[in-house]
Parts: sequence; C-alpha cells; structure tokens
Amino acid sequence: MHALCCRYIKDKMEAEDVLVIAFTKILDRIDQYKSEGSFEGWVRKVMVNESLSYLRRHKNMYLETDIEVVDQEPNYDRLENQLEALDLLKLISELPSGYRVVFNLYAIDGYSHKEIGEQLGINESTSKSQLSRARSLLQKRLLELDEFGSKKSKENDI
Amino acid sequence: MNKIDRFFREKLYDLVLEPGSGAWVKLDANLSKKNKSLVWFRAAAVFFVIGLLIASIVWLQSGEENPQLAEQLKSELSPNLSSETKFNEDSISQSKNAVKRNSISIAKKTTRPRITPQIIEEPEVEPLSLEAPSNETVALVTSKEKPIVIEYTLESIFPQKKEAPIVAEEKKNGLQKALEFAREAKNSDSPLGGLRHAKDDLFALNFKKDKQKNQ
Repeated sequence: MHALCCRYIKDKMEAEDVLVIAFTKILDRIDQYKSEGSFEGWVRKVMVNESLSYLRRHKNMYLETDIEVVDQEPNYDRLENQLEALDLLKLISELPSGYRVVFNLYAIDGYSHKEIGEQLGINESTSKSQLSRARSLLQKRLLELDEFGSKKSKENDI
Repeated sequence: MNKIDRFFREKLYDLVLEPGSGAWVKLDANLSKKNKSLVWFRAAAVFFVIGLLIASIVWLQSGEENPQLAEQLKSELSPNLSSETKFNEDSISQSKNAVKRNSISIAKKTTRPRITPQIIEEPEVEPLSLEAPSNETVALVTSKEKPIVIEYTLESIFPQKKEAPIVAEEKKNGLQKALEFAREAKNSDSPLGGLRHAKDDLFALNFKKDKQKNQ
C-alpha cells in the first residue's frame, strides 16, 4: 500500500503520511467493509481516495503542458529486463501531478474515465487528454532509457 | 490495453514497499489519540445521561409531591368532613374567647387561614375534638368551673398563633412603643397621665396659696 501511495504522491514522506491516515481510517471504519468484494480491493480503494483527497487539498493536481507526440515506441521486452519496478515508480513520480494521477487511476488501478471524472471532478475528455499526455511523457522517457541501455550494452560488447 | 499501460501495471500493481518505522509510531499515536478522545466522549455522555436522570427524578418527585399535598388538602377539606371542619371552627371560636380572656388580641383575618391547615396536619387534635365534643360543649355551656379543659385543647392548636402577635408586639418595641406611650401619656389614658394631671393641680394650688400669701 505504501507503493500505491508513492505512485500518487511524489514525495515519499508525504506518501507515508497519507498511508498512516488511510490506515487509521481503515481501522476506524473496518465495520463499514461489506464482504461484497475482496478486502484488499476495499483497502486499495480507501488508499486511492485518501491519496486523491490529499492531492485535492494541496491543489497541485492539474498541470497541462503541451507535449509533443512520440511516434516511436520503445522495446518493452528489453526494458523489462533492464528496469526494475522502483525505476518505473521513479518515472511515474516525475510526471506532473495531474498526469500521474490519471495514469495511475486508469493504467494501473483500472478505473474508467467516467470514474476518474467523478473522482476528480473533471470531464471524461479531460481525463483522456491527461492520460494521453502522461503516456507520451512516459514513452519519451522510456525511449531515452532504452537508447541509453542499448548504447551501454553495445559498449560492453565491444 | 495499451502496451505502456500493461508494462507499468505488470511491474507496479503488486509492488510492495515497506514504510519507515516512523509510520507505525505515527499510526499508533493516531489510534491511541482517537481512543482517548473516544473514552472522554463516552465518559461525558455517561455523566450527561446520569445528570439528566437525576434531574428528571427530582423533577418528577417534586411534581408528585405537590399534587399529593393538594389532593390531601382537598380531601380533608371536602364536604365529607365538613362536620369536622365546622367543629374545628367552633373550637377555634371557643379558643378565641379563651384567648381574649387572657387579654391576647388576635386578628381574625390572620388566624383563620392559618388555623385550618394546622388542625388538619395534626391528627392528634382531631380525635380529641371528635371523641368528646358534646362533653366539652356541655362543660362550656353548663358550668364555667372547668375552663382548664378548654385551655388544654387550645394549647395544641395555638402555640404558633400566640407567637405571631407576640412577635408583632416585639417588633413594635423601641421607638414605636415609646411614641405610643408618649401619645397615651399626652392623652392622659395611661396612669402616668393621671399623675401628670395631679401634679399640675398641685402646682396650681401651691401657686394660688403663694399668691394669696403675698397679697
């Protein structure tokens, strides 16, 4: 769950604070859990909601910048061997807050654009545009890392 | 699903990161803080409920006492016992006569309302008056040799009544009493007034005698 909070909140200490608050709420409201879904899913939902409310309070959610579209795609199989989970977490944390949140919600936690719109109080179209910009940024960074990795492997071969 | 999405999801969805030790300390502090506030809240609620209960019990008791008193008074002053009350009034009038004989003046307005509840409250008086009413009246009417019997019955009724005028008289003491005494002396109602007249007459007589001697 700490990793989940770290995906949404850039600063590790802040993420830890959110984790503590969310856990306190979970322990307080454990009787509210209805055994309809999995307990882990319920805990995840509480964590996500707490992270979002933290971001809302700090009002650093939405930062729209024009990002150039990346046509080229990195080699994911190669990257999977090169990059650890923590490296990917670092890539996500470097994203602007608004992109990071939408990407986390949609790509990793499986929310739909409608749900994201309801959660964040934005339009579905805004959610979609934020997601595409997040993807472009991440793709660009992954390409850079892929190129850096391939160069390094070539040097090692020589 | 988008390739980049899947790539990140596969790597990050089940990622486990251990929080620092400080997080557990914070969590513990948060929970204990909440527990403490909960304990205080519950204690306050309990005290509030106890207070409410006590207040309601006191209120109910006071509410019950007043109607009981009123009912008692009503029932005892009801027409069923009108003969008793009449007899009591008779005994009161008798007692008034006795009191007048002892030169104690009691205003009617003040005594009447006070006497009736006292007689009702003291059940000892009622049996006495009920047991031998005829004997007492006969004793009063036929022979004046036994006024002591009547005085005995009055003692139980009037100790407080006697106190009231005495207190009133005591209150009059001081300047008012002196003024009254002076007024009486001036109007020659008191024995001192008579002495003063006698003194004046004596002085006038002496003055005449002196005048006659001088002539």
